[in-house]
Amino acid sequence: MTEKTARIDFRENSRNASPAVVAATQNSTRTALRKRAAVVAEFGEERWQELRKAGHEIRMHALTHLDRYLAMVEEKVTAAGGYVHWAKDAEEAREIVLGLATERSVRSIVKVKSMVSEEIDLNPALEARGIRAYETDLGEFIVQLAGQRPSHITSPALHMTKEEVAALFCEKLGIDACPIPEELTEHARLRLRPEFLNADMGISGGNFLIAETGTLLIVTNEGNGRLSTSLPPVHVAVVGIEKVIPDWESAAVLLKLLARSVSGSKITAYSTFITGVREGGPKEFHLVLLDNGRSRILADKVAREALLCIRCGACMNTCPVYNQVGGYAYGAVYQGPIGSMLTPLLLGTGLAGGLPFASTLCGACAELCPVMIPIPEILLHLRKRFVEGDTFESPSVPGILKAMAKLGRIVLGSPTLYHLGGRLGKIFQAPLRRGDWLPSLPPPLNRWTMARPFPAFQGGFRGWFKNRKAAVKQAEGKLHE
Amino acid sequence: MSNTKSSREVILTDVHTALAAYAASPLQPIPTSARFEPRKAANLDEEMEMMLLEVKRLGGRGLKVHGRDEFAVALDDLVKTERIRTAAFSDHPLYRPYGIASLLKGSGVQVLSPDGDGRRLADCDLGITAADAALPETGTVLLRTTQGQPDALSLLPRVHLALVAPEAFRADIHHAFAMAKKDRHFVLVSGSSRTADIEKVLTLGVHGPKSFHVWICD
Repeated sequence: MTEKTARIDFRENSRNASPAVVAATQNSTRTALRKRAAVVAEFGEERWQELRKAGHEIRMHALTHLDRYLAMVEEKVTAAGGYVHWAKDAEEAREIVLGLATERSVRSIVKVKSMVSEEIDLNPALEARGIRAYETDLGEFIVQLAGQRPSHITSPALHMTKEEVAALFCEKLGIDACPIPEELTEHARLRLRPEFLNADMGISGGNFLIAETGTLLIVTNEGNGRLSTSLPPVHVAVVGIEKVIPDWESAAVLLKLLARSVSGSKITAYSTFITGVREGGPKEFHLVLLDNGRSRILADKVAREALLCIRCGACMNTCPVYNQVGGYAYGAVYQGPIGSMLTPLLLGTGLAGGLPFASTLCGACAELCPVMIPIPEILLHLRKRFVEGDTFESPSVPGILKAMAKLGRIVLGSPTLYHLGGRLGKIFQAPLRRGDWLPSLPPPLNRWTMARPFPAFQGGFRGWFKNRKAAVKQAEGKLHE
Repeated sequence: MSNTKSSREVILTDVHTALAAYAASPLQPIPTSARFEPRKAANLDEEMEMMLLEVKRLGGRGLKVHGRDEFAVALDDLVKTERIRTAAFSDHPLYRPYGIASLLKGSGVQVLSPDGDGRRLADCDLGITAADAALPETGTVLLRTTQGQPDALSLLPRVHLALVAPEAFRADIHHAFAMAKKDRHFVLVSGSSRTADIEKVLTLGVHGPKSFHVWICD
């Protein structure tokens, strides 16, 4: 993701969002939110808020002592017979994984759904070396077959209907598939079972790294996470450095928060705890700790809280903007409110500075966030960075927009100029006016009218206010006639 | 890897610098505000009832089994209803008196050994595990991975039966972790493998077992 140079144009992407994708997205997010609300109510609202606070404190403590806990993870994993690798960026992470695979003549890999793997674009790099990488999570398997990217961080194929999945299976797997979720799932099971048994390597991400014992925690529902990390002779886990948590008490709290926020379950079907190597398990365990811009985010005292994220996807489910445009509009691996923060932080506001503006700042995301990330505050912080620049980045706003904003500030700040502007507006709008509206304006003002008409200048407020009594009397008179 | 050492130093230095305000101080203890009071257990009978109810809510089947005779009947019934032809089980001392192998053979089931990495269990119909802990609030069993109880035993067979002794009950996940945290590998299992990746329709049995049974044996 770091190598992509194209600027993300949210406006253009959202215009291209197909109504079918939006409808499927809304259908899925509604269900997820309903289930979440029920399971949180069962837990008790007051206790839930206490749990969220504890989750926030745990993650803040871990982040503010990250160097110590990272060193602890390294020490414990090594002591348990595992290997720890450090990757500054995506390229280094890919090289480490490719190196491990080629040294062991790996031909086939089974993968557990991992956002970090998407972030470092691992699959294309593996394919380029002739190594077949099978995504084994059902949703990821579907989007991989379709040659697409996930549209949601926990439900990758959320944008597809069962009919589309059935058509895809018919085309790519050469089978006669009916649009019934149970049958489609069975097809995926039969297709992937031999791959699990024959793979030379399993690659996973990780939900948390428990520093106390150097334990990797992976939660899955389908069982693919367990198969991929148990059966192949080599297990490689690529994990962002921010995933470290202090101890097992912390793991207990965060597990309770995670499952309820993701899918409205009290717990995920499987939680796997892996500490180094073990008898009967994979012969080698490699942990790749990925920075890729995270230490830079950590230095920013406001934005660093974005690193608290435990990737539950609740902010996306509740976001009115995400629900109107779908995941692809965000043009990157992380979507919705979390994507609007992480993408510009990881790629820079020059490429993704438009995303923090793709929000109404309604705050629904922050209300749901299980670790209480102040999402609207961080979005505002990034908007400011985009427009004015700060110690981390220089401004990315085009000169003409800045000049117009400055002009606007001068005009609105002076009553004389403001009145003059209103009068001139009334005169100049004449050729463009259609009734009470201006349906289109010349560039660069057309960025507004591309989406909605602009109300026509109606005259001064003071004049209207002065004459309003007469106008009311006149209207009443007409009524009584 | 020649760059590994330098990358390590770069990352740790970057993180250290980023945390300038904190890094000078020693590692602070975890604040009490980051702790959460675990759930307290009710009496054992209520805990057992809750466990059975939660297993049912997960789409599984829970059962209380008293003594060897009831166990034998329940197992024969399971073999018939789930059409079990091959099975493997964890040879836990607690359940040896039941003579699981002979009961299975008596029901016409071929018994496989679970030892090793468990690959041979791919074609097995039933995997029987001995739960090291049970969490009634979520219907969860904790399975410590050992040579005789590999991860695959509760994963590759189409049906998973977890046996739970009353002593295995723990009030909350915190207590279960205190027991198993020094292990190299263990799993928490709550129901059969599941997905909702297609239109959020809950579907049981993806890559793991399609059905999940929990028997509380006393």
